[in-house]
Amino acid sequence: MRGLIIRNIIRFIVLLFIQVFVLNNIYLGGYINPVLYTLFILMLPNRIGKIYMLLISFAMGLSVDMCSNMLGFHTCASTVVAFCRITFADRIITRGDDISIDMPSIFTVAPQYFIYYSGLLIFIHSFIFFTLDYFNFSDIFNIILSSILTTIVTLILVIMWQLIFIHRKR
Amino acid sequence: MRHLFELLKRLDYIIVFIVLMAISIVLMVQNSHYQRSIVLNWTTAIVGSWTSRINTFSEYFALKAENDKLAAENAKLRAQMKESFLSYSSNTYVSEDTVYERRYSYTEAKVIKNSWTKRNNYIMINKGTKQGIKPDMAVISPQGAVGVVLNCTKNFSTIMPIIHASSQNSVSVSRTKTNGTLVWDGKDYRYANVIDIPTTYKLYENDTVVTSGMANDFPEGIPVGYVESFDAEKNNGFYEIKIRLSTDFNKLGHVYVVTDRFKDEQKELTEALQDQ
Repeated sequence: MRGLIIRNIIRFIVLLFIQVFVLNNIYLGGYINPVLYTLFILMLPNRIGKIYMLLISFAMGLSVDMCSNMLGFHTCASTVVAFCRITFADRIITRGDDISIDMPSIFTVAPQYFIYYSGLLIFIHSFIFFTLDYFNFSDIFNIILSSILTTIVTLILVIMWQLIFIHRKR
Repeated sequence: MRHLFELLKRLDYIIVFIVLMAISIVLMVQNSHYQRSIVLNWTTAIVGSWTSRINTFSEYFALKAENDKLAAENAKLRAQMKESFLSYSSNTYVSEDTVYERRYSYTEAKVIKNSWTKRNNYIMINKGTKQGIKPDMAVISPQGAVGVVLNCTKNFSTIMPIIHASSQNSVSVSRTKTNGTLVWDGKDYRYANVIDIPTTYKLYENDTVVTSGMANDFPEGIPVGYVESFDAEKNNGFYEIKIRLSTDFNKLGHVYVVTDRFKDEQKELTEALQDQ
């Protein structure tokens, strides 16, 4: 348990650094702003409980927000992602079975389900983020295009991260 | 009660979610100007009266006082304009001081009640007989003509705006100086019609329509609107003109009530004419 907490704290800090110092400076083609830190929310262990999951995701989003000179945008999106994970996204990886998967990753669940699960949540995150950022219904096509492109790039980064770091730990 | 408690216990994470969302939205709204303005616009549209409570920022209160001051100053400046004075063209008066005599003075008033969606719209302002407002005085806004004072009480007055189905005002096309009558069909508060302008005068889109000063309500040359479209196909010798009103009746805030000091004199003459 203690190892789990330490691992998550380290992941929190590393992802925060990568997000703030690397990924926030990337704005490919004006559309893509990868949000790798959602990986932290995707991989939070289920055993900490729903309320803690919401609070920790809120803290993650707030930290990213504060470090990138805006407030509320990432916080809002992260909280919604955590809520979606609690309410329905976890059912994607358990596939309706009663088995509970503590830490969803590409190795603990079947890869296609994990990609579906994380793709959906990352899309929700970037859609909310870009909606708040544009804040204009006439830009809906830009919002959707940005969300889809960002989701694809982020998903690739998430899978790469898991292949590099998780595999070694196992 | 116990069921409610159990339900709350089961849905505790939803309550946490709602609280966290509220916090993040408040953070967002307070910290980014664009988002704040849009959210404020939404709330204003939904419940106008709540806006002042949301605007707890002191600068907004200061802005309101500033606006009142500016409106009062505008009224003062308008009263000093050349158009506010009646020119004595006779050569016997040579002294600079008496070339002009004051004709119009302006009283600043605030719109406290306004309608624009009905057929017979009315505007209420916060000045009345106590401040020298009388029926039949013209009311203008910084954008253009608004209407004519209908009734007055001690502290309030109602105005019949030009977007009232039975209002008729004398207007002229400012380029050609041809006179016509402004009427309103009761449909769209942004547009009105001008009739009685002969087709012998050429007309263009976006020609300015101003008050003519012929009827003794409005001073001359107050903008009324701009020609949006016109047609002369009825072959009765007159245009049918649709004009875009320069006053936005939806956003009326401060107006000026025009006092015409020579109105009684003109009225006397008109009455004398009718007696004959």
